[in-house]
Amino acid sequence: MEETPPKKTTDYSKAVAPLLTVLGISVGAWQFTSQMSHESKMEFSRSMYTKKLQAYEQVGKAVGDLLVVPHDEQLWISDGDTLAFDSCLERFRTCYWGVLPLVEDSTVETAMIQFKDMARFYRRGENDYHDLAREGMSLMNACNKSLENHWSKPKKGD
Amino acid sequence: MLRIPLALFTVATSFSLFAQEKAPMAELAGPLWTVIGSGTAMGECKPGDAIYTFKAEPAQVVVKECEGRTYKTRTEAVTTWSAGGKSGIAFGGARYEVKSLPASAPACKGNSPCMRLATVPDGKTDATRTIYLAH
Repeated sequence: MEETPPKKTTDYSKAVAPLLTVLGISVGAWQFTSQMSHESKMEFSRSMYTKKLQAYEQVGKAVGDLLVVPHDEQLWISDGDTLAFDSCLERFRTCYWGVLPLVEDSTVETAMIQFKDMARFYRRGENDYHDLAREGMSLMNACNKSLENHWSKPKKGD
Repeated sequence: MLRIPLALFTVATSFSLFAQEKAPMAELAGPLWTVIGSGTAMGECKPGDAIYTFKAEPAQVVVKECEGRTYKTRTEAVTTWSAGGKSGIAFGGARYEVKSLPASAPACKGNSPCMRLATVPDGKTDATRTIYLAH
């Protein structure tokens, strides 16, 4: 009886085990990195939201101060109110140049410019109180929308 | 039954929209408008002087602007715009809100009629321009 030579078998399990281990470690590392990246993005977004909220609160205060200067909401600015109005306009301009450029989006920027111009026109007696109040409301609505959109929209050019 | 009120509403809406769009040009079209404080049309001019002549049909404006010491003339097409509850005219790459001002407004310096053309922010620059015009 002829003896058959033993078959050469490859033990794949020896090669697969380390591969699986490496793969597992890689997937774990990737998950960890991606989670960390997501967390840091969220942290940045959260801090930006807080900064935005604080800046818009400052703007709201400046707008409110400007709108309450004319006593009794009279239609045209009176001589007695001009000094207080100029002082409030100065505070608004400080927000415009110093606080908002870091956080505002294009809609808020446009509304800020329009309110600034309208305050100037009101001060010169070219537009009445209703126009100023309307621009103030538009600005606050723009700030509100900007906060709403902070978490939902993808950032494109803003 | 609803046809007549619906038709009336459509006609009224169309007329009001038409009136809103035409209003600024209707006020401006016709005579020469000079930037308040400008010199005369024929004489020497200084920087900032300008004369505008608006035409309703076709909608355009002839702008004479002071360069050096003489007026340089150019013609721009005028369009109307309306957005966010505001409206106005656009020419030369800028959108303007048009407002008629009383002669008592300081910027009018006693001129009547007096018109204010204020540019609308374009999102590229913070600077806006205001032009005060009188006959």
